[in-house]
Amino acid sequence: MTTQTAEASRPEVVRLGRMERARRADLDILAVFVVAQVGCVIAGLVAPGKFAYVTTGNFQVMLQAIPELGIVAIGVGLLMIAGEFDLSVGANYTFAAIVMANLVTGYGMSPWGAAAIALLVGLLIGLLNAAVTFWLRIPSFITTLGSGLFWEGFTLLYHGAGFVSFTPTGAFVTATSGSFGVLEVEFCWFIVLAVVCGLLLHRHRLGNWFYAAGGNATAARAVGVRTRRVKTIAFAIAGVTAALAGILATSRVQSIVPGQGTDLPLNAIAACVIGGVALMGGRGTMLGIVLGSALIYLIQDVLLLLRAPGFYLQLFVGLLIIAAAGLNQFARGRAARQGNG
Amino acid sequence: MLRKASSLVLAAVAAVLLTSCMGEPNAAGGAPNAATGKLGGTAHGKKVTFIVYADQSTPFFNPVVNGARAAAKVYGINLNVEYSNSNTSTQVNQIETATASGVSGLAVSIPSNTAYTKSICAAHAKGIPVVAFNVTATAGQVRNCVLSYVGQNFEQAGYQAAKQLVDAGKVPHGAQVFCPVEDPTAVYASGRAAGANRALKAVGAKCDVVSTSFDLAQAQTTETQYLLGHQGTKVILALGQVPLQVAPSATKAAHTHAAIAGFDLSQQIATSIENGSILATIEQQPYLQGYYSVTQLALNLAYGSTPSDVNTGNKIVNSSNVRQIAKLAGTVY
Repeated sequence: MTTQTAEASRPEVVRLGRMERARRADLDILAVFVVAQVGCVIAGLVAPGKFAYVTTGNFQVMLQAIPELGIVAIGVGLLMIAGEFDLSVGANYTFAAIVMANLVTGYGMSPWGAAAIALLVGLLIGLLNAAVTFWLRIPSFITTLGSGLFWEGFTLLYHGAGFVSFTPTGAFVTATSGSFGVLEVEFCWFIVLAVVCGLLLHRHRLGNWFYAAGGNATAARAVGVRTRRVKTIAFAIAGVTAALAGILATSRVQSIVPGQGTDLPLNAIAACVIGGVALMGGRGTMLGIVLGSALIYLIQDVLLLLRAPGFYLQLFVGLLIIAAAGLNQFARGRAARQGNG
Repeated sequence: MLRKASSLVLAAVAAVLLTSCMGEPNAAGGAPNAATGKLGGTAHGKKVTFIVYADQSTPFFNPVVNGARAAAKVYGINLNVEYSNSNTSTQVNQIETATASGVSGLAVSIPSNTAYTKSICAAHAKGIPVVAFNVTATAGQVRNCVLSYVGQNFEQAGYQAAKQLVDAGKVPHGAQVFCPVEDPTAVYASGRAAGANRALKAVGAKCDVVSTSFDLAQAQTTETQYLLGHQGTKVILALGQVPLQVAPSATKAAHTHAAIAGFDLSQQIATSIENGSILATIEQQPYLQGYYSVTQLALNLAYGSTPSDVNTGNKIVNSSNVRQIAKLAGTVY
């Protein structure tokens, strides 16, 4: 209700509601994703020797790899919808995981307790980003760029530059890096988180406030939305999701080293943009974020399976990311034109 | 309300910072055990700037810096360690600043044949001895301005690693050897790949270089995806530490049984060599790179002795000797 009022204050009056346009664009990117999947599966079945797409190993690696970026992208995407950025998620991801690994390896703490502390660290970093952004009134792009560098440096102060082993056993492994048949636990975490955050974004008033704060903060404040509080919650979610991704990735590879995660912030933003989240805020859907994250890994997976020249792999990945984002932009433009009649 | 909550958050973060500071000691910063004799009387108190091309979070340079600090302690050198974050212009600025401030000696990594000519030759012209460590220029005028190189000969190490695999019969004729590396454009990567290809040519095989990034989880994913797409892969020659460390888990995930060898060492790599999932690694003895480069500068400053090249990169670590050095991985090796 609040959002509708806030949006009505904008000059452009559209025939279809924002949600309807988003749903149409989501259907378009979903269609692209499904067509790509069907094409890959058919190719994999026709020529399994040349394109090993339909194999247990390939599904397992995809279901392990997508959540690492996807979970971070969920937090980053919600924050972008609320009109802010978090470039510190990579440093947060690494620092939280190193705190967890050190507590377990160095101090013999239970991995459950250590993981809980790591999540708390992620939460505090997110809240600190919000506090600095709002108290000093500087753009979150700058705040989180600085805090990312701070936490990278602090990780070195706390731990040094070496690898940390993390080899928990028992239920913790099952809960963080186990599998049920071909279904990987990391992917289950990703889906559960996406559903919860999706419900929050699309079915709860907090989600409306995210859109309002990101779309037109002045109008949102005018109708009573406490934009700082709303954005602080979004910062907190971004912090926790970055820490969770770090925990899951570290449990999978059983090791963590400072300097990891440097590509994560921009990759997460790219996944969100491919999925239709607006860089200026106020637009985007959870389905888009999930599909955007999956598409980034699908591109690399298909290229490697097709034996693209490994030395130039980044060239192809870069081109296809731009193409995917362009396709999505085209789909959204079409949805908007249809909406405008 | 929000202000109160934010104050609580800041207080909690301050507590975390303080707790963290009281945590484990900094692995890179701890003074190593070393002899404390003052052999170089006239080198005592001289200022030497030691510039690492990478950033502080690269584990490989831990033992390099440990070695440099140990040598500085022995000779009473006033050592200043700086990091260039893999940025050429940053490193050039650091060299020029050190030269302008009147340091007595410079130890630098030189990952380009041309980019450092002006700055290093300016230092040389002012009479500042310059020693290269870890990586150096392979051609160009800058070589005339550097007194010595302490580090691995990457091409030779690549050749040696691949030849071992060929001689052991691990490389089928005409095979494509999977060569993952963090950054294919890095000097160490291209040098090792060139050397490997020279040895592999004997059996009609060649290296397929693939970028993995420095992220362990991402590297494992990339290697698994590659192996799934190249089911016939019989050999993995990882050209760097990160891809070598995750190679055993990648082969397991891809359900393949490729022979694995590579370069550099960590505790996890040592464990994999012990359990047989990695055949061998060529170790470039990073501690020696730091130790010898500072030692050469100290002796030059003390006695005017001429530094000379030291190839630190021929140590083969396999099941026969891994137990002996595993406990030193990350601090010396």
